[in-house]
Amino acid sequence: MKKKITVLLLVFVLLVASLGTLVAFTGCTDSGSEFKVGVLHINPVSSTSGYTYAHQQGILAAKNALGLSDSQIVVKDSLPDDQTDLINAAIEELIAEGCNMIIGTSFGYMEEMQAYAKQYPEIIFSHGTGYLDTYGEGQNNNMNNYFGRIYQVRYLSGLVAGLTTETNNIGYVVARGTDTAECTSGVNAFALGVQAVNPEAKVHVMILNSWFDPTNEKGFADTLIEDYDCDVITQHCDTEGPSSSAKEHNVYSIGYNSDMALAVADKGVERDPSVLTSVLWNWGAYYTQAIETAMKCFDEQGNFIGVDAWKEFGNYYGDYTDGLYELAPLSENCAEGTAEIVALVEEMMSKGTSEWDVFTNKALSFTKGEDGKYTVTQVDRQLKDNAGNDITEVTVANITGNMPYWVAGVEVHNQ
Amino acid sequence: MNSSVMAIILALCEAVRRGTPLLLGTTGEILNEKSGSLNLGVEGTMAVGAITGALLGLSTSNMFLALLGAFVGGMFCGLIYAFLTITLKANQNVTGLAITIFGGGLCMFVGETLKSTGKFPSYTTEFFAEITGGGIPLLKDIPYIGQLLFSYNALVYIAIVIALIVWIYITKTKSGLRMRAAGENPAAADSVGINVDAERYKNIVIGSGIMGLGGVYMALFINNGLWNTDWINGYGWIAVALVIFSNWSSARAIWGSYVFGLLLALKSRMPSLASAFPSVLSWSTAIPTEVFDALPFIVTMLVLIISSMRKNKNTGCPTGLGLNYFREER
Repeated sequence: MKKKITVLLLVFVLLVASLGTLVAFTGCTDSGSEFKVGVLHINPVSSTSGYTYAHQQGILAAKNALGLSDSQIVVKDSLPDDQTDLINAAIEELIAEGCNMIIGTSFGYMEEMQAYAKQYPEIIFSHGTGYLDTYGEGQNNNMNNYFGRIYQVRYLSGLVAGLTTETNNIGYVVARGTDTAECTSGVNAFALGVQAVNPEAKVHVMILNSWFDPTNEKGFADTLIEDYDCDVITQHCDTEGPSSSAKEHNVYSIGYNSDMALAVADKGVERDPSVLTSVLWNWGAYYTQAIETAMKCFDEQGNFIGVDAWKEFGNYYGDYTDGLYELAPLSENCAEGTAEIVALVEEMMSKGTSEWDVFTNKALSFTKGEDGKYTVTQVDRQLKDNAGNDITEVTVANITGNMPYWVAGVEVHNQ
Repeated sequence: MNSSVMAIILALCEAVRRGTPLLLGTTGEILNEKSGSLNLGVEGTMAVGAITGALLGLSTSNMFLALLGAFVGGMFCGLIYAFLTITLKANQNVTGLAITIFGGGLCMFVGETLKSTGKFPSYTTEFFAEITGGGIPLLKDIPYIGQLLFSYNALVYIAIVIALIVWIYITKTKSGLRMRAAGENPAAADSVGINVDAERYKNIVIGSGIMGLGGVYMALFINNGLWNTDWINGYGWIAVALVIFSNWSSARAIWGSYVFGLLLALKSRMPSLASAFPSVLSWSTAIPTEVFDALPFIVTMLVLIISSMRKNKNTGCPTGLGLNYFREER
């Protein structure tokens, strides 16, 4: 009797499994005509602040801008960078569901995406924050990298910090050190912004060596405030800890990724005034362009017609002119003249990086006229690192891959 | 000179702040272990205490309700553990690990759900000031000494008082003697009329409640009441090892916790100590911060190795620790 039941159960399980694949298979062919975008996220898509939130908001903005339906966006979330098997499974599910384009938002998906891009030349792949692609001779040209020159807004936030500090000590809690250009470029641009308005001020850096360490993200800010007398704290890490620590110590902070003025606000308060501003991404600007371009690689019946449009689009390192990032509203605690000076530089940045860029041998200098209005001029200088060596001007090529130094005025307190 | 002294004091303050949740976890675990139960569920019990206490405290802005919520949340986990291991005679280690996984999962589920729907409560301005202020008025203004001894929030002092009360209870009182008997030799205790099951139930549940207080400390004071997915951050596991380090004495656990608190604080405080004492500590700036992340756990391992090598049999470890008591198999 037991045997019979076991056999029956087995048969049932097999039937269900085969039905499942059948459904998946027919689903795949049915939706062939509809352009589908698959998205891979590192954190739960339900999060209300931080990295994944910012990217998902971008995807939704692109969806609205292009008039896509819910079924045209397929999201796979909670995929940690180091879980290769989960990432592979998610990519295969997206392919099985008939996605024509796959967007990976986290650095760690790079190798997996490249492998699948080679295997599936008729699917468009777009990978955020990485450096591998399939461009070049003998390649399929169906994968690109994207990131933005967020350092431009870091520079703006540096102006805010430099103008507001009274102790001339500014703290910076950063996830990684000189091995990660994403972090050093942020710190360096911030420090150059600080120095443009306040040459006396020092930027004190403490390195977490971790992308997620909530206890120490707050603890580092505590140390910077208590031991190094910092009165403005900024950060490149995951939690609200640094901003909360600043608020606790009655000093100021500058947020990153999401608007920290909202995150640390008390009950009934809309924006916390201790948060001077936040450095924010607006990924929708890229995703709209990218999805629109990828759609050009398919005809109206959904058949693949070639990667030319995508190849022409190429790798993407957007700048201020694309509206890819912005500064959150300034707090009432910002020093007088902050808004005017920030607006002047924003205007310069909106003219493109050919007008002026952060890591060049041109520094900005601000003077207040008799009418109370500020003017900005470019002055020659030599970029130096904090050991006193000259630095060559930085171009797009090395901003995304390699920046193994800190600029002068940055004091790093740990390894 | 002044700034060097200040760097030391600030580092020690940080050690006390980080040692307090360890002290509460350890004191709770000592009550569990002294009555014969090796409860490995400290991490999970703290997580449940953290979420119940934080939610109740943040939504009512009342410190007492936060502590009460945490205590009840911890007791709830203790009750599950006691029911499984004493009434149902389940394996203690497996049950403890299950509590750790369950507690962490429950905390995550509730926290993530509230956060993602935007319903996670935030501080009122007054409550935030109450939590982050603290200290004993007048005394905390004494230079140096005031900062070192009197500048903390109430829970730091409550933790010390709880640890001392538990120490007196275990070593000086008659009921403490009964619970020790239940942990040392339950069969002998039973034969003189001690209700072993009741002794164990009582101490597990109260001990777990104290662990819950450690949890709410992590949530409200270490993480400033802001939700993140790693509130307890392994502190519960360190507490389990601290029981051995303090030789099952909650009085010794007080300084033991602060020693481990200092180890945990080194990642953030070592740089300022090094700049205050460059001649002695300048070598430390070359150490990658990952080493400081690992340090408390490396020391934990060393403690376990050294304590297991000790020849001296006169430890505070109860003989009946980890063994379920079957009355019928006496």
